[in-house]
Amino acid sequence: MRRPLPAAARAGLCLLLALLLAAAAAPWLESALRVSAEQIDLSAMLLPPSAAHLLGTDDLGRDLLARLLRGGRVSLLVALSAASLAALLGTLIGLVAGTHGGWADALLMRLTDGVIALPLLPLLIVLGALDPAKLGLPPALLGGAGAAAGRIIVIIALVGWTTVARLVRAAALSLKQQDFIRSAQALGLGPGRIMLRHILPNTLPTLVVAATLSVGNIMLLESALSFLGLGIQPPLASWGTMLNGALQLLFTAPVLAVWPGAMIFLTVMAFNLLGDGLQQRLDPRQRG
Amino acid sequence: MTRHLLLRLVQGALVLLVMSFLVYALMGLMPGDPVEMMAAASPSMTPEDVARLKALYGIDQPLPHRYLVWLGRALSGDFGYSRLSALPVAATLAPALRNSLTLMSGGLSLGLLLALPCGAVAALRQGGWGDRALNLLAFATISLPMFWLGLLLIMLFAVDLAWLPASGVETVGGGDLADRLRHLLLPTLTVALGCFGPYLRYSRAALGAALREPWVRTARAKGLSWRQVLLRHCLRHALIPLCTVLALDFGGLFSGVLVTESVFAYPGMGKLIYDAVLGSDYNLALAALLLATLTTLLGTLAADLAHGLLDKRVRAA
Repeated sequence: MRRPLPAAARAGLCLLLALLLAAAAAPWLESALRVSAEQIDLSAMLLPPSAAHLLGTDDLGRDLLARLLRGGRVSLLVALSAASLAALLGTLIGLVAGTHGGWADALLMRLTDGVIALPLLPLLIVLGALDPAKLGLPPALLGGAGAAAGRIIVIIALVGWTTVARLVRAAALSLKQQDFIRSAQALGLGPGRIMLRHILPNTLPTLVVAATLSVGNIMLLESALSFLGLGIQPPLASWGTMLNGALQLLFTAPVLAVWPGAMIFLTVMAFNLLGDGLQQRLDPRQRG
Repeated sequence: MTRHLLLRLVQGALVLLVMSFLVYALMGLMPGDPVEMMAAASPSMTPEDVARLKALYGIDQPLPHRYLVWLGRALSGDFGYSRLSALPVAATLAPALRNSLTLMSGGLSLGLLLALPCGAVAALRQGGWGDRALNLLAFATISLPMFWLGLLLIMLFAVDLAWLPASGVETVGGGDLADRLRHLLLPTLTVALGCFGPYLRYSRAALGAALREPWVRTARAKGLSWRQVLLRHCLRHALIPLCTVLALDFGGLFSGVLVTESVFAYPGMGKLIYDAVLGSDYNLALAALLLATLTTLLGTLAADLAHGLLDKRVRAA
């Protein structure tokens, strides 16, 4: 029997859908409102909200609402891609560890313990500051703000897969004991086929919950890195990057620091509420 | 238990060793090169000078060789000099470590002090509106970006109201204890609010689990009030998981306060790591990152120990 999602989780879901829709439709919304996120207008610096600029303008005279929409596109895209990549990596590792068992399990779980023991943010700062040229990457990969965004996605995914890996491993371990897996083995199916066709589909609910809950954390990490100037680089701007710019103007234009932070807060909250609701639905015993 | 601890110690030492090599290798991948930086600073240096200096410092050697030399020196306590402060690395680390410890212990204790009573209320009224409101509050603080919270606090208390200083540890030119405390207030509050959410959820879960134990019914049947049961019996039980979480958080010291420290320009370990990495201060960054790994490992170990010492069932195992 399916329990309905709690009200808070439904509210989170609605908010997320609205945000995703607004981010996807940003270019159309901009032309509909006749504003631009890129157009620098030094005669219209730091304007208060008006009919032409619903939230006012920033320090370069760009429309703040349009900037927020563009920032949301970047923030959501980076967070969702990093979370998907981390979930993929975690699923692969957890699935192999849980299904194969033995030395592979021991090795992969020690690796997971090791990664969990790392000081996350300091390490991310080092990784963010690395010189890609010294890694021997082709110069084509280096240019442009898009490459920096790709780098952040990979870096965050490389440290963010541990929770998913542990949960998927636990699910795979318990599934392995069940009769339908034994009968599949008795039918002579190979371990790869059992892993992908029989165990993986049954770990999906666990996977979806863990991935949803991880998006919020990943978004907080990305915004912290961008705020510190090591994440998304201008001219591309996530909400974190916008806050980095607002820090310099904290005393003259404090309102610039309010909106991007509020957007991060709301989005992360929505993801967390949705994840918590899904978790309760999956396992109602989680909460007393 | 002893066997388990020994195993953890060996495992921790191994992680530290692997991490030291990893970080050493990563440092080499950072932009710039120490001798090239010197050459850029003094135009009179010839390419021959550069080559000679590189040979002198051993930078022309292959990576494993350089790492082993560094490891040998580090094991004897010599981490070299910091480029930014021109002091031995240890002398640069010590004050930052002290500052971070102050901020962290204040923030975590305040967070726990706020969260425990709220957790008790939520546990006693599970499913009630108070529980739901507190749960929502916990989610809200978990979802708050720490740097944004710091910015908001600065905007409110330092810019608008001008009650508290926005950054640093003391008024320039030195200040008394009260002045230092005033500087600590906003960062401490940020750290405390940051850990409030998780602590609230943990204490609610721990107290709730303790309240469902059969001895609670016995205590109630004896005529103790809920308040007495909660304070005398359940709190002790709930403290076991909370101590574990606290130890883990303390281990994550530098990760936890890094962002807060940079918002408030508070000269702790997090800010030091950030400045060292961006300022190409390789020796300092290396030592600081390893110290951060070490505290994380020690925190995990302390959590294990606390769990074993406080829970007699684990100690017997």
